[in-house]
Amino acid sequence: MSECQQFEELIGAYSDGELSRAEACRVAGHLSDCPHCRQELKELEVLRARLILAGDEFKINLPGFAESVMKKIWKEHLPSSRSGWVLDFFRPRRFTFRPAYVALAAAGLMIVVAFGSFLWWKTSSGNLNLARNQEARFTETELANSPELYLYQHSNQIRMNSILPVQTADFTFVEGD
Amino acid sequence: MKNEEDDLLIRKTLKGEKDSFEILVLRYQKRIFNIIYRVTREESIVADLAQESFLKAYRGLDKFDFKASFYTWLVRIAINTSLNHVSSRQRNPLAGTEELDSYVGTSAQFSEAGARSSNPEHEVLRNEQAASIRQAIDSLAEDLRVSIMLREVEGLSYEEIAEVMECPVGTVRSRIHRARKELQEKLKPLL
Repeated sequence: MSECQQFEELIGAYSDGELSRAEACRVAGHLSDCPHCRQELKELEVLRARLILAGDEFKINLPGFAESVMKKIWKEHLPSSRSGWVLDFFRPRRFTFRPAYVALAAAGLMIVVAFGSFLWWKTSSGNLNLARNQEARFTETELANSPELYLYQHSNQIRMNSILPVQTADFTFVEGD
Repeated sequence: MKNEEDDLLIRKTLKGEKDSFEILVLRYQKRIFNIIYRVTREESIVADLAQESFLKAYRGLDKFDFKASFYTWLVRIAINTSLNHVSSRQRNPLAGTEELDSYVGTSAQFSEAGARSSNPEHEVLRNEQAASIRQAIDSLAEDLRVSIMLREVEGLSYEEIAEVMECPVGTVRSRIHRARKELQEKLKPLL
């Protein structure tokens, strides 16, 4: 390998300012003695100038680019880290219609309706039981003296028996019919 | 090219302040567009690939170790994304021919660039030369092409290119040397 071949690769790096001080001194020493390598350096400079000229730019404006990237980040709900999820949760969001949201809302509504119905049923049956117990407190004399009270008690009991299973233990008296 | 401001913005983003990431996007978007365009040579795909690159960077931000600069890290992502696109285009040449996305603004700069030329003949010659040089660059092997582009056009140091390309600095020096030699050979009539 000739001396010039040893320096061939180094000349480019020298021209780029990418050599250590010691290496740069060595290359500079060789260049001062070697017209062939000096010519190489000159040609390299011409090439570099041409390459910069060819460094064409992307000329189209993308004015909303950063905004679109950020929208995508918000939309995809991408967590940048685990620590950010709390802030992320409270972030104000723009509503976008999605079938998944509708399904979720419908499921929520069904749960609310079902739970509401259950509560209503529980309350109603509680009231009926209460009413039943209260009505049971009427004495036989009171019932005998008041035909209206008797009819009320009797009709209520028929209604309650049609809704609830009869629990005879709840009654303090037994009707004679 | 380590940038303390970038590190601060990354730390803020990692704490949940996502808007800090937008500053990084605004700061580097133009350079990323150029890099993607120079690798792919496809104007219509630049916006999509740039968006993909920034999203990848965002998703992987918690893996960023703050040893390298954010920019070189981002360039690596952009180049890998672009090269993936190029290789998929080679496999399926009809893919990626769609128009620019809706967020593309005016292309007034195009016509401005054309109108700026004071001497049309000179401008035509210059454009022809530039086209020949681009063609020569595009004909280089992928690793040589990326290395020379990052050095001559983006102005990255050998160390930064080594970071981007994940190889030793010596390899970068060798690649740049080989790329220049090939280009000198191909562009002899122009030089």
